[in-house]
Amino acid sequence: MNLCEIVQARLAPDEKCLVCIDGVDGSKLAVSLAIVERRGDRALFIFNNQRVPPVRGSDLSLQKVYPVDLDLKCLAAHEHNISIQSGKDNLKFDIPRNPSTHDFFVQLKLAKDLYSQSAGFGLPASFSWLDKYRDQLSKESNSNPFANDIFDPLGYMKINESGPKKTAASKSKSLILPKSGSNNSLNSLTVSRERSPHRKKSPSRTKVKSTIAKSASKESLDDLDSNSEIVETLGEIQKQFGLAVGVPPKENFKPGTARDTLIEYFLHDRESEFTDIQHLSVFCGTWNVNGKLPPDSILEWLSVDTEPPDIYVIGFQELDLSNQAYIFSDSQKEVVWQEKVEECLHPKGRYREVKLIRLVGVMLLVYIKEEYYSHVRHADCDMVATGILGVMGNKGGVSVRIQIHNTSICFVNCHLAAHQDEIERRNQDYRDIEFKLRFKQFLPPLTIREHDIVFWIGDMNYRISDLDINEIKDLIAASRYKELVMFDQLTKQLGKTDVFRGYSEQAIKFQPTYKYDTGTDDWDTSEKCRTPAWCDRVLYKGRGIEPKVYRFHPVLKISDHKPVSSLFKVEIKVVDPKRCKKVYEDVNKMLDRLENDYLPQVELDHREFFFGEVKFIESQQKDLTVMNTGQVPVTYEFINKLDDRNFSKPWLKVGPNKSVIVPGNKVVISMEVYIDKNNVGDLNSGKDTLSDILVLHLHGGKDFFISFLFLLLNDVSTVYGTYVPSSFGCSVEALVQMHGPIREVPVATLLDLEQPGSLSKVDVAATGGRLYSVPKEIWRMVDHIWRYGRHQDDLFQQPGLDMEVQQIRDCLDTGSPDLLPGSIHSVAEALLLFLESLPEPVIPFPFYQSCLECVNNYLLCKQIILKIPECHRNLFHYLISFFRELLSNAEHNNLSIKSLASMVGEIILRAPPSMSSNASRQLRKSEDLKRAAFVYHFLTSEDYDE
Amino acid sequence: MSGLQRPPPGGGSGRPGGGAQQMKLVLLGDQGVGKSSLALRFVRGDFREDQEATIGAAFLTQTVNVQGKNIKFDIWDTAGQERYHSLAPMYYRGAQAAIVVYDITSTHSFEQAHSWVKELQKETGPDVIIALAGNKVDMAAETRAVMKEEAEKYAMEHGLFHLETSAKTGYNVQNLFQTLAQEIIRNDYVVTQTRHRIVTTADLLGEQSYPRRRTCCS
Repeated sequence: MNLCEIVQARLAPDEKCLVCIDGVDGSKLAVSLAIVERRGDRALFIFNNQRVPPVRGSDLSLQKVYPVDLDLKCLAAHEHNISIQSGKDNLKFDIPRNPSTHDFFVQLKLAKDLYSQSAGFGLPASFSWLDKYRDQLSKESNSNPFANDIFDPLGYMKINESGPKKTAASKSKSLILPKSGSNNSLNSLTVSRERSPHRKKSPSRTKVKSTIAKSASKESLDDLDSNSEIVETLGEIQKQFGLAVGVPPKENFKPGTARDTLIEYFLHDRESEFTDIQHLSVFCGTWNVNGKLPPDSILEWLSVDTEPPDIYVIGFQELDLSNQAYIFSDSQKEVVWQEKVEECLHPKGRYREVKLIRLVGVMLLVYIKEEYYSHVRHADCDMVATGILGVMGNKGGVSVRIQIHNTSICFVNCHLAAHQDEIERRNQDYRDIEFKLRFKQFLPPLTIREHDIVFWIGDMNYRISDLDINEIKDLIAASRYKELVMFDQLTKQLGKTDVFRGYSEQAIKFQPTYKYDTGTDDWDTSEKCRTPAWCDRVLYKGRGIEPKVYRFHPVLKISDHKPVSSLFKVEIKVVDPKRCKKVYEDVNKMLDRLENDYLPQVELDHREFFFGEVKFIESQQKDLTVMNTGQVPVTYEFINKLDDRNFSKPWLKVGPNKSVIVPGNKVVISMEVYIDKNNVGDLNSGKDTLSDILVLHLHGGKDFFISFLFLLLNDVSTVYGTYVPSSFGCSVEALVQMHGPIREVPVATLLDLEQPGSLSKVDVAATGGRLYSVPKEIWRMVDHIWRYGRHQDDLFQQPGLDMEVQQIRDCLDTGSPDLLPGSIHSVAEALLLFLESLPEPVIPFPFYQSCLECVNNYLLCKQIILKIPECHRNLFHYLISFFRELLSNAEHNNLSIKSLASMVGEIILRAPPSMSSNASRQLRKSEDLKRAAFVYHFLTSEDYDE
Repeated sequence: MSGLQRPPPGGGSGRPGGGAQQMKLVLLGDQGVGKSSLALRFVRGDFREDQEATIGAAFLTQTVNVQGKNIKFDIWDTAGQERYHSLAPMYYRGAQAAIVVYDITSTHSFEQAHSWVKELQKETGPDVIIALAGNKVDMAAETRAVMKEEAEKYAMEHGLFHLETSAKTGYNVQNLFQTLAQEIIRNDYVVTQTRHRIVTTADLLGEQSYPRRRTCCS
């Protein structure tokens, strides 16, 4: 079962685990992070792994559930180290580098995108399905181990004890095993000679070190590191992941950082293209010296080959068995043994020390030939104690890691639990070293597993079991090691269990290295009479390792163990900067291409809209189909051009002006051109033209321009397209000068007529007094109503028909001599519409305010009328007389003075556009009353005299 | 807290690194001079004879590496048709760099380029880097109408850098964007230096040197 299936076992049937990765939390506990989906809503589940690796659902204990919404943030300092933030929580995790990690990030980003889109639709996910898990959470744990980054042993125990799914093993483990705090106790017992300026230092650690650390006199490799171009501060590394599209950039957001992670990933993938192989020989030696001082020479162990190895990896166990070794960091033995080693390195080679690290009696020394020394980078070391109570340094592992050119190599020397039957303790010691050891020079710290090549040596203490001691000795005597090794506890496990998974060992063709009577080649004759065993081993893991020899060195007799050594030829990847740059550029190009391919793409069925003749109050509607032909959901929106307040002209109605389209789907957007009384005036006067360009913007992508074009009416009117001018919306001034129907008036003349003050320029005498006293169109409608409709029931109270109003408009505009078409009600409505469409109302805007102010005084009202321009005054009197006549027929047409006054008031007294928008409702109501009152005077007054 | 970043798989030596700096770049010029073709040649490395007219503003992205620094261009390729001219400010506002393109076989397009340069210098800040690109140089032998010297003189006078390019053959296209990126880095460098008085010995000028526009925005 993979991790996803294990998580799935914990979920409801309608929920699906999309991706799950394992990792380590801030307290170094194994966790699983899963993204779970239910009906399109996604959530992040964080489990504590009760067993590593988990094998069934019950091995996971739920720690946290977060809905993937805008509140959830995933910050990545590096692809191995992420922090999840939601609300007040801020959890940090180390995660491995592998394809599923990549999937995890992709899914997380996708989930966020989906959430923001559904929220954009006004349908944010509710995540109520998570409630059952939240309940479960409060039952499973009383406190939150993730609440902060600092390890809290008590808090951790509490959870483990209250967790219903805990096993006895995990409970006892939690009591015995050191957590991250174990470093403190370690430091008092051990010394490591590293001097590391880049190390992350906890206060306690620094304190301990400053008092007992041995100062390193030799030039340390760390000095090399400080010159390295890769050294960066955490702040520079801290970058936010993904979320480039559709989300406003945050303060700490740096674009292109998710990309950096991808670049690194692909570069790693294509490493072979820009590296050359160089071969180095590695000598690995291990010896349990049983606390003895070195003999005169150990050349018989270190320098038996004809050619000098390039790298020496030398491990000792039980270097110092004195009680002082546990208490004091200094050890005389360390010095004498190191001196002896350096004396006995191959005489043909010149070597430099890379690192020395010692945990009580477990010491590891790494040397490299001088000529390769400058290619070594990022040397670091760490140790894990697994001895008494799991913390003492009598057992444990020490490790040194280096990078040579582009290959990382890790060396581990260990001393695992002793005794024939303690195989499980040995296995556990191995796991503790493998999973707890961290090279802290790195952020996040590196583990053993993350190296290209690992050599693991030491006194592993695995014994030969299930065979009688005499049979063993017989097989040894007959050199039948192949048969004997079948009974070796490590060989039996290797490749079959999780112990030393991935590691190999060369065939053992030498006799067991333990246990001898000191100074002899005789098997142990003490009263314990230990069974012979291959305690001392050399394992390796990684690509490009060619094992050469595996042997023991019985000549050295000072200890109860014989030293072991092994030679390897390893492949070192050397970067060719030229090819590396090329691959780097290649990767960038590929990512650019990907990025461009994943830009939102749509296809439009129209880029231009042609409308025929557009007439007043006659709607024309066309559709724009937007098809998502790309690979990602698209949010489109019509955006304002430059500093415009609206994305379209007022006569153009667009809907929906913003929406989301998923790939393969389409949206039909309606484009409606409709000229109404509010915008007709600007078109008649030339202030506005019937043309527009809309900008359709795709979020995170390109813009489309959509043009609205209108067929040209005639050559003179090139600018105005085919808006068909109408007398509706013409000014009174223009209308009284206009002879003949408007359709026969050249557009240029029309524009002249619409110029402000055109009337005053007219030489009345020259035109032969051919000014109308009232616009002829109004006269035609008024006359029509008077002749055929003054007795009409509900006059001015019933609506007309749109079609008939349009026919009346055409009749007026073309000057058709026929009777006006349609019912009286339609003519009445056309009349009102005509008056409403006047760009300047019957009582012009400048007089509006004073009219309202003097409504209580009829005389003052009359004086205002005297002041308005003559053509408006004529029209006013004409209309009032007409309405007075209608009122005199009230017994037939049911007109009431009150309703007529308020209707007429509304039309002839319009508030200036600047005022109308911001008036309150109450104010508007009082204005309505005043307007009605104003007209009322004229409709009712006895002494009305035009 | 400081720490060593994990050694990148590229090994550090010879690997260009660092996050990309994002730059808004706008392509302007008369219709049919080859703005889209230049952008597509740069981004995709190919060329289409039947490249359709851009009605709107196409968006593409491309990263270039200059002196170990990554510059990520957000390229806005605008519509060249005159009737969309009034919408161009939507795209050149906020741009760090502009390429004004003309067609070396059309004097009209060169005149249009002048008016674009004038508009840009008037409407945008002095820090916007303008490149003048004479495209379709592959047709120089038969139908050249704008002399290279003439264009260079004009560029010199107006503080632009000038290159003749061919989107069809790819000639000078990479060079055009590379040089822009270089200019941007240099611009940055100058700004940083004057603001913070940081003296660096880094040779950011590269081998070529172009007259720089600093104050002329008449």
